Amino acid sequence: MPDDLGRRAVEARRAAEYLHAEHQAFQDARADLRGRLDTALLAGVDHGLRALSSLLAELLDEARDLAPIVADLDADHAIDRGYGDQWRRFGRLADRLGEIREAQARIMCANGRRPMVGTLPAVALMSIAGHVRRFGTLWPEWRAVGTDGAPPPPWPYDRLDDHLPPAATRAGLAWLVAHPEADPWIPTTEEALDAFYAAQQVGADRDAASLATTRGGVCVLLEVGAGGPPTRFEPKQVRRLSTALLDAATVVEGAR
Amino acid sequence: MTTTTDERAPLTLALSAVPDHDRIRDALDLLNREHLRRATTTAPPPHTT
Repeated sequence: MPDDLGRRAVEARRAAEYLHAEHQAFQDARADLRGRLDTALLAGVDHGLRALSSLLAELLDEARDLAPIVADLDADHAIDRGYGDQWRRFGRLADRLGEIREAQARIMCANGRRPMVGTLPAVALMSIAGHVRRFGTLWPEWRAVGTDGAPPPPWPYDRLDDHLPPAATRAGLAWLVAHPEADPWIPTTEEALDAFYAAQQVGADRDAASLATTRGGVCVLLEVGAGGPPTRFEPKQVRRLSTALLDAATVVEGAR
Repeated sequence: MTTTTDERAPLTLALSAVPDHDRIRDALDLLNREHLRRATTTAPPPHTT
């Protein structure tokens, strides 16, 4: 038995304790930094989204110049006509659009750290309101997506996504630049929520109007006098009533 | 025709725009590298004499 066995045993135990303490210090520091990273990301989501918005604007500018030349051509025709470079650049822009949208989705949900925005799943909010600002106007039936007979969106879409945003493909990009009224965008979280609720209200108004037009035409209910019973006007009366109301409004405006 | 001025991956660029993100991530990377380096080298036993 070595004479210094006891000393060596003590040293080995201390070395193990030292390594364990060091490892623990690393783990604590790592957890702390990851927490700070989460906090920074959650607080700075809109900064990231605005940066992507600039990228999207640049991309659309470039695509707008190329789309009239190559959007409707396949590769062979583009090459035949001497537009091979433009055709390839347009394809790269479509790929980059996909990267931008993927980054947007990850930033919107803070890289998975914020699954919900208010009461909405962040990913769903991104899919519905994160691509084109006017989605509710251009596709009023968006709320019925997936139900039988519901019309699909007017833009090229990817069936893998339940909410059917414009696809990040050549066709999708061509559609975006050909339809500026769609207003492609990368909204901040607040802007996306506003657009979502506004589109939802438009849908609710449409539903109400649809109910009013059931069973043979429009009817209008007016409450006559304070607390009086509502008076029902049948379709034939509505046009006359509308004209009379407009006339009355004109008279009132003129008297002011 | 405009050209895209920043060719970095969109996610990288977006994260860079988040205040403090890159600074914290760099610190985390540094920590991980140092931890790895120490784990792969034999730590000297503490001086006990």
